[in-house]
Amino acid sequence: VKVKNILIILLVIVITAFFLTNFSSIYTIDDYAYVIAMGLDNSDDSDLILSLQIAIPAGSSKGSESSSSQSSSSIVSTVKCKNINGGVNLINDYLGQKLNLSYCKAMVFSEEIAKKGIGNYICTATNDIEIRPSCDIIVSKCSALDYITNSKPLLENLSSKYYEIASSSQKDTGLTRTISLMSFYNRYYDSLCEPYAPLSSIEESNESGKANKTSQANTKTNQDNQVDNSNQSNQTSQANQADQANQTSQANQANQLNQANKAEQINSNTSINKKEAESNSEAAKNEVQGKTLDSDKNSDNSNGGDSSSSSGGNSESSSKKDVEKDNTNAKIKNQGLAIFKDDKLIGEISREETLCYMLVSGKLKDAVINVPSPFEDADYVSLNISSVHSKNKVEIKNGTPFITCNISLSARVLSSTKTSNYLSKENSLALEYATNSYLNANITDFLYKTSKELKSDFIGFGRNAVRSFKTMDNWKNYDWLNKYQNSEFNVNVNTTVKSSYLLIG
Amino acid sequence: LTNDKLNFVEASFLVVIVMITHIISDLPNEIIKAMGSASILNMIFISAIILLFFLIVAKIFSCFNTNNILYVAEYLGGKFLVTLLSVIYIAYLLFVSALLIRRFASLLKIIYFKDAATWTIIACFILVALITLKLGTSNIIKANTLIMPTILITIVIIFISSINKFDFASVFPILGYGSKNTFLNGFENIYAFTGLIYLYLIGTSLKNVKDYTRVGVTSIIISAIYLILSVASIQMLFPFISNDSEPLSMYLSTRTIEFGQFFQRSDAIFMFIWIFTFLSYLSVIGIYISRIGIHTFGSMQNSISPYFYAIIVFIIALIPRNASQIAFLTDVVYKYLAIGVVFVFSFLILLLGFIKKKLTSAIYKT
Repeated sequence: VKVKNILIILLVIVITAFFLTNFSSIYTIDDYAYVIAMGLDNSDDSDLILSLQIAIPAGSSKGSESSSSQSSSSIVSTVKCKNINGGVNLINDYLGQKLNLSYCKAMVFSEEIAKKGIGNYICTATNDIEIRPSCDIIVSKCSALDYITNSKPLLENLSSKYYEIASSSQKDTGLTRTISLMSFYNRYYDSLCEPYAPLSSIEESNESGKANKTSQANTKTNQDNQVDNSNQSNQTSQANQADQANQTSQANQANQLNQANKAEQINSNTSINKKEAESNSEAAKNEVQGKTLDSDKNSDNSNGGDSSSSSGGNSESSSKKDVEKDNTNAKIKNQGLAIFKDDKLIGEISREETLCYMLVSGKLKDAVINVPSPFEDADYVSLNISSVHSKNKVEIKNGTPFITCNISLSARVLSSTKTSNYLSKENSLALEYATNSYLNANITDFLYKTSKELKSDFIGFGRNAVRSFKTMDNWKNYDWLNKYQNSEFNVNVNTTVKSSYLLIG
Repeated sequence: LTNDKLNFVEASFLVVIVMITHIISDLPNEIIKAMGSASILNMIFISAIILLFFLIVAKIFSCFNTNNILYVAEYLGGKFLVTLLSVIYIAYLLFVSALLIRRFASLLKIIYFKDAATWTIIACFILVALITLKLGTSNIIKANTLIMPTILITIVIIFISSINKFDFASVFPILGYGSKNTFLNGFENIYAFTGLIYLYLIGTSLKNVKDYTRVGVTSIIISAIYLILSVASIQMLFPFISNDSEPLSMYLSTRTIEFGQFFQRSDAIFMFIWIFTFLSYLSVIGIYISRIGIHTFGSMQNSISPYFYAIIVFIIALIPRNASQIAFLTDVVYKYLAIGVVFVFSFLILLLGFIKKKLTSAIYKT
């Protein structure tokens, strides 16, 4: 009987395994192409331009050519489509490998698309089983394509790691604040606060500090990056730019003919992000590989929406051209936060205002601020502020919200001069007073900007206000998110100057 | 199947497994949708009501020499009533287990087995339950006693590890949609504790019959704590749930858990453990059905009971055609069926049996 039972169990396990694994559709790790960032831009005909930054693993044929030090590279593929899933499907169609979004670290929205509303994309991404809730949401002042094309790490080998590390920099600066897909989705639905997202742009940089030995290789790489490679061959490595241009245009024509019957026009823009220090001219040429369906980069279909838009769109277009001229010299710059009302971008706050937001929300861990010196005119004292605690209180009087922000923080003096004696009793008090006044004025201005100008409670005072309401009906009838613009603020900052560092005084 | 006697821990876990399985299959989500921000308050209220209800049930049972409702039904209405009750209980258990396994199989299909047909996933669960039932009740009980602590720990881990992402303002306004909705309309959330049905049946299987009240109180308290923890964590993690959305909330909450940058995507571990929960649940339900069948229809059906159970559950599980039908069966049919069977029909039998007993003893005295 025992043997019979064991045989039955084994038989059942085998049958179960057979049915569940479905051998005909097994994917191995090599069958997947891993997306590390996703960019979403507007097009002129209300379509979506989806750009995917796809990792080329160091062990793959493409990645291994360069990889004496495990440099990783990535390609950026762009399609014009109706929605995210349609775009992914189109790229899947020609890429040869199945796209996997499980490692997508960032979703980048251009400013234009954010102004129109990104709620649908956020909901679609949240519904996707592969995209993780921890995926960062970013708004780019330039096109999302430019953003992810230029999101190459300077000090980091792995692009995916770069996104993780870049987002964690907020802990040390307080000048930006990341938001995950799930948090954005929560805020989008929540009646207590509005969404926000970090705002970035591309900044030109001379990079004078870079090693001279890499400059030549960079130039080569840049030249190669200018060319969209329509085939997977090594033609690029053997051709000069003129030849490449010819080949590209021929490929464009062929591809355009091939794609003519397709309902959606597909554009692909392929570039390679390489660690510059490892580049050499030959390797750089060989590494520029990728599939392209329409490589008409100059016409720049991805910026099609810009032509129909106002001056902002034109400036973006030119910005993109600049970037394409010299990709390696462009880098991402944090610009503060993009503020949303519902799912639409309605304004932005600067990096300094972001610091105020972090102070008011009590989320600041550690930051450096420069306070006008109470001792010498036109001079500043650098303070490291930490241990920030904020206690916000909202009272509703005659339908008007009165918001009181009590912020306490500790400061340590970073600046030091030969004659400074910041920590004497009188000077310490004067410094505390100056810090309080400085922060008080800035935070009050910032808060009134959020209510009167932006009319968006992205700070989350609704969380305090809701405590005054007993039922959800009362809360909904009050309509906090629209009443916020009537708010009056009272800010109290209490700074305690603890000490300096090694030099006391 | 009826020979195995349960100690205190085994009996408590046999009741708790049912509650936990309902929690994993999105019971908190249903409660939050109905109660809004007052969900936690409502759950505390309902837990207190259920505890009181069970103490009344235990008091009624104490008047009889048994803690099994089937004996009370036999005493009250003879063979007819006990047969009717047994049929209703078996039909109810078959329906609920089929519905739960269908929901979980659909979740597994979405997440991991995209290419597998839903029926193959359901069949796998049912095959395992069938084999375990054929291998004997004692194995199931021991396995359940081993699995339960692990499952309870996973829910605690979900709560603790997501606590830094909680939005505590989600519990405000404290009265949700109003006191009437929270306490009066919200009373129907007693269906969250339909695991109580097993307390009607488990009394005669205890090694020490005096442990009955202790088993009931312990299992209700454990279930209440875990239900409140689950409701709290989901409510404070996902404010959008109160907006009539239908997320797979317990699974979503596991996706938000990250232990630093080095240990991410831990949801697979939770799903792996939950698969065992559902396997154990199906086997335990099989035990209950067998016990009812043996009591009412005799031991002859003992050998065919597991096959009957497996086939019926499999067929019922395949009936819903899509997610909206599953949602309807869960939100409406299951909810009111559970209240009707567990809290109205069963309690009515107990109450009438109790009155008959009192009247009979009064007549004997006079």
